[in-house]
Amino acid sequence: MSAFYRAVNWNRQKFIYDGLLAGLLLSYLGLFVGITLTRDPNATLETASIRALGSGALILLTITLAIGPLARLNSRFLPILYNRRHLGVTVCLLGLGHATFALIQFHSQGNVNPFVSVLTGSADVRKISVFPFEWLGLGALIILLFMAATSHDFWLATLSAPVWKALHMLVYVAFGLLVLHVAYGNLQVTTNPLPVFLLAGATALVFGLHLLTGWRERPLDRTEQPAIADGWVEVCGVNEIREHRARIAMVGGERIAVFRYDGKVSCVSNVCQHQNGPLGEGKIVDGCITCPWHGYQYLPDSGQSPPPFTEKIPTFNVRIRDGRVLVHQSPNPPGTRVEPATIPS
Amino acid sequence: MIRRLRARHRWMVLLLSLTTALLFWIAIAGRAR
Repeated sequence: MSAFYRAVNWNRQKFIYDGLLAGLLLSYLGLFVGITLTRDPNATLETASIRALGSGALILLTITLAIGPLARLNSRFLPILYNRRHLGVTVCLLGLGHATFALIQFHSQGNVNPFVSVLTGSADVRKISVFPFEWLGLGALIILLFMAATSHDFWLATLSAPVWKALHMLVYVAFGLLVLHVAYGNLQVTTNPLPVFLLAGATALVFGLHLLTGWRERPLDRTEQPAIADGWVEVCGVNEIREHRARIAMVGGERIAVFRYDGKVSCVSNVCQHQNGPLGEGKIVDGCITCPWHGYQYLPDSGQSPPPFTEKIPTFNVRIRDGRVLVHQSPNPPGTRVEPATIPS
Repeated sequence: MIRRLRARHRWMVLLLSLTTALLFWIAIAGRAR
């Protein structure tokens, strides 16, 4: 969270994260090229590099996409989620390198313009073994370039969170296109079954994890808490909420988060203004509700971000009766202060 | 609204995963032997 825009808000954690990423990536590329040149007598440095960059991009994209659902399943993955955008931009750079070298190596030796060659070539859409797999890779690269170009928080604020998020959901289309780019490209000329299993495994991992976490959350969206009187809804017992943590419930058709802190209880919308992150899965840090995804903060009683930030989320009237937390199902306008309910001693 | 968005995302991911799996299977099954 920052009050003004910078290209990257560098801090110690981001330096460690990016340093580790660069180290692992360079090791992978070096090892891949070395092993390919040693084991394949027909491989040249150029083709080995093209394969290293392409496979590196796909592996990194698989990891990047798996982090989200893994963080929902286990909070220990949350620190990796924090700097995920740098992984996405790195995937794009690797893909761009792969495409550029492939264009030079395979399409620049003839009389035809390399771009015309890559888009027309000798491919035939009717035959699987000569399907123009380059089109699939190009489609994925265009999506990744577009996403990398708009990855900064400036674009998030300019386009608005819902539009930005909807556009960046295209990453799943890009992943599908890349899987098919390899399946209709490299896998058509290799007899080794290992790449087939690895690619199938990566695809199953990404889509399987998303489907698993998505379907695990379905029951919560379907169990609406019934109103007991005058629009008040019983959510849970006070003792069921851990200190500085929240209980998520479905009230009035949307998810709410009831936080317990310093002998009090407050209730806000569960949806972070930044990227719709689940606030109720976060905790109260320095007196503020802190989103587990990117650390956006809100005061629990007013739903307002502390100055100079301007983000606001809806609040809900809350009271405690016989040790049970009651929430009014009508949300207050974003940023409305609500007196927290005091927990009787 | 967010609830509907989440439901829509779930179905979109399911559709995309099934499409990718089908096209992947066609690619592997149709490999020249």
